[in-house]
Amino acid sequence: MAKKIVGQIKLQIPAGQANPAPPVGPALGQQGVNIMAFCKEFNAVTREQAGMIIPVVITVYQDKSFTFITKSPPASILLKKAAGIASGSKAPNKEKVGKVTAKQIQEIVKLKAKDINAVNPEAAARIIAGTARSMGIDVVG
Amino acid sequence: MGNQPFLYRISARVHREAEDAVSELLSARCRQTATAYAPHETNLSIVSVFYPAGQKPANSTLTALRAGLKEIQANGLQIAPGTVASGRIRRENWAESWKRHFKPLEIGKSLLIKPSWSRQKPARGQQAVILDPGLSFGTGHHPTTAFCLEQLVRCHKSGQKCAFLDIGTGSGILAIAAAKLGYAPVHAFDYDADAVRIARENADRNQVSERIRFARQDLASAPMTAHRRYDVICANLEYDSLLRFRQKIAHRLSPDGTLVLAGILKSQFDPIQKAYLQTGLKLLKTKALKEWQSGAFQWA
Repeated sequence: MAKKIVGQIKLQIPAGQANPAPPVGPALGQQGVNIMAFCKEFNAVTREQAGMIIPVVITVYQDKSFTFITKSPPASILLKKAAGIASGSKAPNKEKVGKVTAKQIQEIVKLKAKDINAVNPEAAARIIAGTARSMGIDVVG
Repeated sequence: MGNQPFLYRISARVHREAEDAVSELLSARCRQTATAYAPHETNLSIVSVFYPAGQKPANSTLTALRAGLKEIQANGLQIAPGTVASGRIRRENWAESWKRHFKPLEIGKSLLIKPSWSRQKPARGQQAVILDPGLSFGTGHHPTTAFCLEQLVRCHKSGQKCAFLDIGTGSGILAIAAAKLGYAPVHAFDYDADAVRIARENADRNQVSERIRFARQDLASAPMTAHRRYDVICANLEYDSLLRFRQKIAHRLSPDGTLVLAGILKSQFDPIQKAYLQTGLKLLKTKALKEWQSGAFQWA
């Protein structure tokens, strides 16, 4: 049928554990999405990935129906893993908490190739590197 | 504080390029999972965190977030508009409150489309279709679906068997409504397997599954002609499909049948109309609502 998209909602939810509590409830409820239908479907789809945080993109249509797809982990999580750190810096320009190499940036670009909002791999690498620096992670090499 | 009727929310309106970085900033500073909403056809992303009931952001949080946005910008990411605001939202039973967006919908005197939680009873002679919004498109509230439903009601002649074909069935709403109105046989297909599954579930719920044949089928691989012709066909599809497959769609229409085309933006209606005129059809009725225009056609 003819579908008019009104917007996309992006969430990160533990696999198999979506429920109407915040942030899922208010994020979806404000757009008129059937929250229980989403939770049921998401939990069924991600049941076997228990323990993982799953980014999900929900596309909302004009009649409030929706579709969703699960995504690769967010850049920030991949960067923390690559740098071997638990959290980003609270003062990223002053206090550096880790390093990643340009090669690691390229690997993250490959992992997120389908998901990242960039026109080409160079633009994607620029976004990932910018995200790294804004977390207090230096890009070297 | 846990009984307060509201939650605190902090939202940053930023360029979509900075969405990941700003999500990380809000998650780290506020210690809450960030969500993002990106309105269609914009570069905007609204990144938000919601505090649990009884918790509120520290006074210094907004200042720190604004400084954080500047740092993200300084690190080479587009940030504009780059605003941060905090506010309160009403605490609701989120599992239920979204339902206020959906009211029963009457199509003429013959059809009542209603969500399962509605207590509205159908009037005498009115058929009720129970349909909850969910994973598949078509609740009847979209102008294109509403036009198709109106044509189904208009074309139905009581006491006569009318064959109906629903191309791109989505939630199954048109096929279910047709079965309820007395169309027979009712055939429906969609290229999306999930849509077919959900349409079958909706038909089950409306107790018409034995009167509808659903199939997963793609117009691209469908034969040019079909054994059966239909008295009414609804094709509520995207513009490209309506144009590309016009011969296949038209070939399934009976000599006295009505073809309902929907899913067309106003600006796209003229080329669609011309293309179908070339297949030998004439425009019987058209209706424009919001940015959409739909049409009913018959053989010239």
